[in-house]
Amino acid sequence: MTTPVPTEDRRNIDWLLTIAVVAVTATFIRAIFFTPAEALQGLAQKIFYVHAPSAFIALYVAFGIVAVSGALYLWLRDERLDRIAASAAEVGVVYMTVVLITGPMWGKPVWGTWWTWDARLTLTLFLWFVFLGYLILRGAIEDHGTRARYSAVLGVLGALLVPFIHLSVYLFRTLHPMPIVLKPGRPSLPNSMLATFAMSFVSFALLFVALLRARYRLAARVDALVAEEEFEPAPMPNLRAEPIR
Amino acid sequence: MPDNAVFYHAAYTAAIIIYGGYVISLVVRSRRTRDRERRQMQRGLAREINTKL
Repeated sequence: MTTPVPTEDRRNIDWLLTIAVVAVTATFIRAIFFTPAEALQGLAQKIFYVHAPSAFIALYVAFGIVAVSGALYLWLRDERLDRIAASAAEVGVVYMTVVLITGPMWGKPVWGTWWTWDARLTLTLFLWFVFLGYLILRGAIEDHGTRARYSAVLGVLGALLVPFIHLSVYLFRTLHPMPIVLKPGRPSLPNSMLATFAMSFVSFALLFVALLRARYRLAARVDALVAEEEFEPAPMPNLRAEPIR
Repeated sequence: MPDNAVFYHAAYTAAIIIYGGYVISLVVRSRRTRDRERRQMQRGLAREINTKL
């Protein structure tokens, strides 16, 4: 006889995350099999469909949310804002890790080097370290209020690097290419590549929302557990086991 | 056209491993939390029964 799955477990399937994973898979299939290769860069140009949307979402969306939620937390002291900031920072670091790994994989065949210490790359690496520090800081402080306050300050200060990273290709001489989609005027991409880029942007944004939602829910459950454990009465001493003197 | 497909294969594989690994980590942490919730619920029930007895 088979045991039926409890309804509680069946409800645990995250449909938004499932849809996001399907969307990203469809994007990969379109990018690999149905998008033409660029003539000068070759197939390595297809790294763009993973690298650029991940970078945009990490920099402007994830770390933007960390900064705004952090600033609002410092003002309102609502622990939901702290949870949103922590979740966005964790997902943002994951996206940024993809950016920092896929970037050099494009750089080697196109620039002839894995890495160069130019302004865009160095500031991006520095931002990744700042938010990695943010996550380590959160793990190191036990007191809720102190942890939320310190990490909100670090999150706001860390996100100040984002405008410098955005402007670095204009302000400094860098190897990193100028924006080809998010710029004034028409994007410098043919329609078939632009459609794949739009699809990858939407699917990675959907994945971000799904991961952020899943991470936030997990944080809320853990916080509820910790709060309940803190108020749990201490166990009664077993008087019978104590020898009577 | 230069032959550099190996780089984009490696980049896509790395992205799948990182995003997939993170999804798995969320699932594992969620299961651990569910176990903690169950243990806490059992402790709460046991305490309630003890109080009534």
